[in-house]
Amino acid sequence: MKEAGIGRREFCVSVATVGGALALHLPGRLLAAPAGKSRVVLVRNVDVLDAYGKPKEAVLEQMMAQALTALTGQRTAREAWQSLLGPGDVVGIKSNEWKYIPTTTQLEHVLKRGVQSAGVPEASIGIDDRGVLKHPIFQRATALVNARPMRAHHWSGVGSLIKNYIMFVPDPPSYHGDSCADLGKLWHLPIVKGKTRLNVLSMLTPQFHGVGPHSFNPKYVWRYHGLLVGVDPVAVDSVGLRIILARRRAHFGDDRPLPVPAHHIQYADTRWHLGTADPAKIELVKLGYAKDLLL
Amino acid sequence: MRARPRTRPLVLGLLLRAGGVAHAAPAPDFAKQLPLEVSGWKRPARPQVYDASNLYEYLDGGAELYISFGVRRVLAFFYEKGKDREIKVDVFDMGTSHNAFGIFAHGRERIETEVGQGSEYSAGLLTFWKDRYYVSVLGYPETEESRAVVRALGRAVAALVPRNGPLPPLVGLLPRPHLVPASVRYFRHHVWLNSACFVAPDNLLGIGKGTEAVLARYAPPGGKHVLVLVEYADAKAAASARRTFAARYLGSPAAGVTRVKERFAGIRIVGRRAVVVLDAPSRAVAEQALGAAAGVIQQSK
Repeated sequence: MKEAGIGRREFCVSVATVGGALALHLPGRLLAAPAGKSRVVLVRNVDVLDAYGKPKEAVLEQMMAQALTALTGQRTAREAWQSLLGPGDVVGIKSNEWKYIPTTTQLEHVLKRGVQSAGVPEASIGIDDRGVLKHPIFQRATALVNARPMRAHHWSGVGSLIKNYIMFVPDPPSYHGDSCADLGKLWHLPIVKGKTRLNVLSMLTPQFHGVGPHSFNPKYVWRYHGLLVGVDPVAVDSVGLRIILARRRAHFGDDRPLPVPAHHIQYADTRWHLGTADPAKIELVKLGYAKDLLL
Repeated sequence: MRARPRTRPLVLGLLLRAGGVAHAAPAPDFAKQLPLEVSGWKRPARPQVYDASNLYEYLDGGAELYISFGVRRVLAFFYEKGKDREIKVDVFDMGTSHNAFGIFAHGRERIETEVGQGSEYSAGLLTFWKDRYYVSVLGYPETEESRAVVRALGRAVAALVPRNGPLPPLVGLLPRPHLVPASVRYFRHHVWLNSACFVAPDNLLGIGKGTEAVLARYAPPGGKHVLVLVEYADAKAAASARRTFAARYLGSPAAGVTRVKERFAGIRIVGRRAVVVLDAPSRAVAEQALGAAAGVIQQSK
């Protein structure tokens, strides 16, 4: 795995906290990785977006391959997917269809092909967002792949991987208390508990500030050209949040907080034990385009 | 995917409250009076209608912000021109002009007066407030043509609102010298106290039902800081809030201006109002800010 400079022996994705709480059912070689740090891979490619800001599928595919081999320590993307999923799995790809900055069909396609490369038949793969509770694949899923963009959010601070599971409850507002503090609780619902094999936080065109009722303004969207990939959703969200906050500092010229704190990420660690939000316990692997990294 | 709300009949001509005082205000019939077509952009005759109970279906996670400002009803109009070209006109009835100002000011970055009582246009999004209405007109992607239609639609909505509404009186108690005007925020939910500098996730100042708060940034030569004014139901409630804030944020129930995270903060009570300074660069700046605000409040009596 020359491009990442990381070999199997160095592979140390820690799923101690994630696995301990959620019993992720990851393959033995992943769980056997030395405890201590959660690995998060940031991969960037300045060519991933076209002139209109849409992702190019072929470039995305390369980025995911880089990220997954770095994450898992496997030699190829196929082997990486095979280390996460098997032919017997029924896989729900939890997407996000927010109109202005969606997960994108391109990323969904890349993830679906990746899941298929692990031997999962197409008939056992579903992609959905708001319809997951009624989706037959999600209802009987043995594994989940969680993919969404990060953006500033009126009430939770940021839209995060952790928050992306709010569609697994019929009454999302019931999780809105204290600025969505306990979104981590969602991950203990039977329909998702222990099933998440991979988290992909799209940082292709994140939004660092939200205004107006739809919390969208292209003025606050920028081309970061990145994907954050990891097993530990809290660690991945934490790194994404650092990028958002750094972009806010650069734009506003001061240390302006998000209108509401994104404390659901911290609480996902301390209250719900989904992973780690502690930067000292996150091993961040940076691949590709390095300009304006904000980290 | 656009939410599909249940269609509800528009109830108009209600007795409405504006600025905290009951008025028999004429209610605009936006559905009837807004143009069905502007420069080739057409809308259905009936808007989508939401209230606090189902607004989350439409705003996709953003409803709580509007609920925290007391939203009563939302009319959503969709003007379309060809495939994938849409301008959304959202008319929020916030119940009072205070709340309409509050939700408008919540996200603004600068002061503009092109539409209504205050407006802001940026990258395809026009927001403004007038009387008890907060209005958003969003044209995305932004083009020269959509920009003109967004502005025309904004002016059309504003013209249907017959009068201006009063600002929250608390805003008038903010000292004027060195105030950053676009930073003024008005709110009645404690979470927005953290919008200028993070204080705490908990409600240390007892902001909620029966209280009002304003917050603003100041940029005097001595250094930037944040000032908060909170108006309570009575002096007893104000004193109680002071004790809680001093104990939990300043470190002691009797604390005066105190160093907090390498900056300075303090609180002073004037009758049923609290003056709070946050994120000040020095004790002197914090003391001066508290004194100036207390002076304005005392003069207003």
